[in-house]
Amino acid sequence: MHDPAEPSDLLEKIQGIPLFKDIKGKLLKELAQDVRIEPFEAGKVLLQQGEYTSSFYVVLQGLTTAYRAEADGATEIVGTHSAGDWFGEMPALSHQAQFATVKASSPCVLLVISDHRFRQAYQRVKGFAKLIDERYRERALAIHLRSAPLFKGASRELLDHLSENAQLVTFKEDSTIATEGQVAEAVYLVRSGVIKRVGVDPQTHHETIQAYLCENSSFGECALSSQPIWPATYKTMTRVDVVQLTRDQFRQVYRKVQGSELLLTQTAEALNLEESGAYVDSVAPSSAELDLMVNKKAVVGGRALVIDLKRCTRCNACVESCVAVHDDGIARLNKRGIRTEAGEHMLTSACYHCKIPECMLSCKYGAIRRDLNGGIDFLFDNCTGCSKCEESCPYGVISIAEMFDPKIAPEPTKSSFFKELPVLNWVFKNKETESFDSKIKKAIKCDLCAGMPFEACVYNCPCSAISRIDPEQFAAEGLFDHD
Amino acid sequence: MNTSFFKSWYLLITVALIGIFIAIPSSLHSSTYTLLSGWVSFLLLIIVFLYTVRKRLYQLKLSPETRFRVPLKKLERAEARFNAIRGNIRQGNLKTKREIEQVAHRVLKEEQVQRVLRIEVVPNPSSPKKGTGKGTEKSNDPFSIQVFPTEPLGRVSVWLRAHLYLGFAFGVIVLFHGGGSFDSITGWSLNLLTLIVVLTGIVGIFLFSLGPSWITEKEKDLPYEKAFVYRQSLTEKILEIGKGLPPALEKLSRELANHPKQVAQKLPQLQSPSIQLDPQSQKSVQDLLVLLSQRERVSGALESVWKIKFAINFWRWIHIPASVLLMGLVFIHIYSVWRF
Ligand code: SF4
Ligand code: SF4
Ligand code: SF4
Repeated sequence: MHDPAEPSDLLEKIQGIPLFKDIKGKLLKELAQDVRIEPFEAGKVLLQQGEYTSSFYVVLQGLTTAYRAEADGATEIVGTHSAGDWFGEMPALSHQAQFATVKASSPCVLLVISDHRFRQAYQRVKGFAKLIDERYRERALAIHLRSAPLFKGASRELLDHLSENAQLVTFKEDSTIATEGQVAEAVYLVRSGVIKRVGVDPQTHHETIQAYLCENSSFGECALSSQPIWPATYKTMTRVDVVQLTRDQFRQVYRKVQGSELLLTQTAEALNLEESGAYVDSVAPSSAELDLMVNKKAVVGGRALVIDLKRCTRCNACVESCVAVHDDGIARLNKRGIRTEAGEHMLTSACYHCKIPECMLSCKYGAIRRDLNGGIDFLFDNCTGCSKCEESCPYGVISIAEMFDPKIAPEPTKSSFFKELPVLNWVFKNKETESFDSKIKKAIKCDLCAGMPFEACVYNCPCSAISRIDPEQFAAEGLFDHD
Repeated sequence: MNTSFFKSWYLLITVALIGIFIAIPSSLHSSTYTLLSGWVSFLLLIIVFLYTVRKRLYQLKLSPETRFRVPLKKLERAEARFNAIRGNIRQGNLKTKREIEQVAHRVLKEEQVQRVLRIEVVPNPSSPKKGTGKGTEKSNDPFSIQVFPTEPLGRVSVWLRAHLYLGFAFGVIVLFHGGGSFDSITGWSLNLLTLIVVLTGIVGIFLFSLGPSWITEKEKDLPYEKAFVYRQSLTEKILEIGKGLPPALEKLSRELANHPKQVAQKLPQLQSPSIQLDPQSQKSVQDLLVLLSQRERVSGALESVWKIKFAINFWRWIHIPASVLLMGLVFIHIYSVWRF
């Protein structure tokens, strides 16, 4: 049920909310055109812990409660939101899954804003970003910190003090956060983005990737130990948001919370010990495949479509079957992609449904969103064919296709046995092409054959050569040595 | 080598079927045996042909399972409900695998997505990694619900294995059926065609399992797709450099660019041109010679891949027509036996 409010009413409503006080002019108008007001009954689950959402919510009336289920089964109330409060900022900003469940505690009315408008406002309006960050610090940071092993046994008091002192820092892609051998000055907790941990061979000076760190990973615990030296270099692979706690900030907290110094330094020492041996078993030595995946940023990909070239007879059935399931007759897959160094496997150009979808970040029109399952979808109606996503996708999987505008032209008639026969096929195709002259541009990419009971390419490969693989699994389990 | 072709349950079925027909004759009357082997081989032939029919129907967008498509809204609602179930697992409200399966199946049914989605509830073995490694939030639930497409007809790769092994079983049982008789035209042609189809099939499957490795080996230095683009860009460069040359040489360079087969024959004209060249043109000619030799190399690489591709597919030129003919003959044979 949507409120049939006029854009001008919405504009007034938005202006009346303190959170939006610094948003003005064109941006405010654009925001007003892209929000909706939705009523919810008491007891309705608005957001589920662990699901992905493409919206940011502001409470206009009523009360909502956020609670989080922990691994041990305990449930903790994280906060309540009354009129003027908001939630959903973390998934909308960093594309990670929602960290708490939010329920309507009374009948309530919410203002729902699409994540791209929210991000626009966050990136452009300092005052707005400040309010969001402050609230994040108040409400979520303490819980977020608790997910880091260093703070596992910390009391609520200690966590609150740490949250007060912590800084929220953003690093650009390809920045170096810490350098091996230098003094470690801070502990970091990743809020969003991907960081690679690299070790440099002192003799050959070759860099070896030891691990990559995604959201909720922490590093730099060594800063609190007796040997505060960085054991490796940490470099960003994407834009990265981190929570930073410097040694000075820890000292301030030690003064305020009794016993905290002992607790944190002991945990840090233990983690340090564990870490110095951890990589020997887990990831090192870095295989050619792992290097490839990490260097090509495939690690941010959720599910990559990989062809085993020692099985693939190059019959093209995968591409043809992709064409067959899409009404526009355009393949979302081509067999050009990244090959492993040994040349035996290829990451195809089908969408990886990235953990950090650069395409989504670049789209100004809200035409790309993450579905609840974490997959990346295109909203056909919103797409203007501007090709920004095509440029920003690191894997080149998006193409801009010309197609008939379904709003102007009737749907091309369905295929039939007779129309596919050689000569008739030519006649029909020509007739259909002649009948419309209005074509539009739209971005297309692999949609995982949405709605179908199969992924056509995998389903139709006669040689079991193509499969969907989690790149992380690929690296960790050496899945490619299956023959 | 793709050894996956040789690992299949159909191999066991084939061995069992052939074994049965070897064991039967001593205990059964010969006409019953002929009838039984005839019908079994006909059935096998139909199954073997279904593979081709399925592939063709899919290409024509007439495959029945493509009609199962469900609207995205339904999928999303189901996924939202799965997330709720995951929350309940995390909170300990759903404890056993059975309980979780029941609730998840109810979601599939109520959201009417059971034709496209299936679920598996698996125990979650991995506890979160500590320290600076991977995300600390993952895999803490005791069970996880994994959602997969239903793939109602099974993967084509499985059908291919059925095609292979049951096709082989057909060949052997047909021989038993006719007693290897070559004394009538029907018997002669049926046996011969069966032999051709089965043998080309065997050759085909070995080529399919070995061929990809040959191609991959050839592509190690220059992958096929890259070679293709590279060759195109070299041709464009040749044309561009040629434009700055005197008319006679420009024409020659165009011919060399557009007709690679004439390179060997016409190259001497470029190596020692009949006209006097200024230093700039001399340099351009040198560049052209380098580019032409590079293109030759790339073309050579492409050609060797094409040759392998052709080699691993040539058997189909015999296999497919022979199979169609065989199918026709089988129908004629059945009709004539039934009629006369
Ligand atoms: S269908 Fe399979 S064997 Fe054929 S080209 Fe695609 S991946 Fe290769
Ligand atoms: S999963 Fe479907 S849409 Fe994606 S590449 Fe394969 S066939 Fe195409
Ligand atoms: S389109 Fe590109 S950037 Fe976007 S999710 Fe897919 S692979 Fe990632």
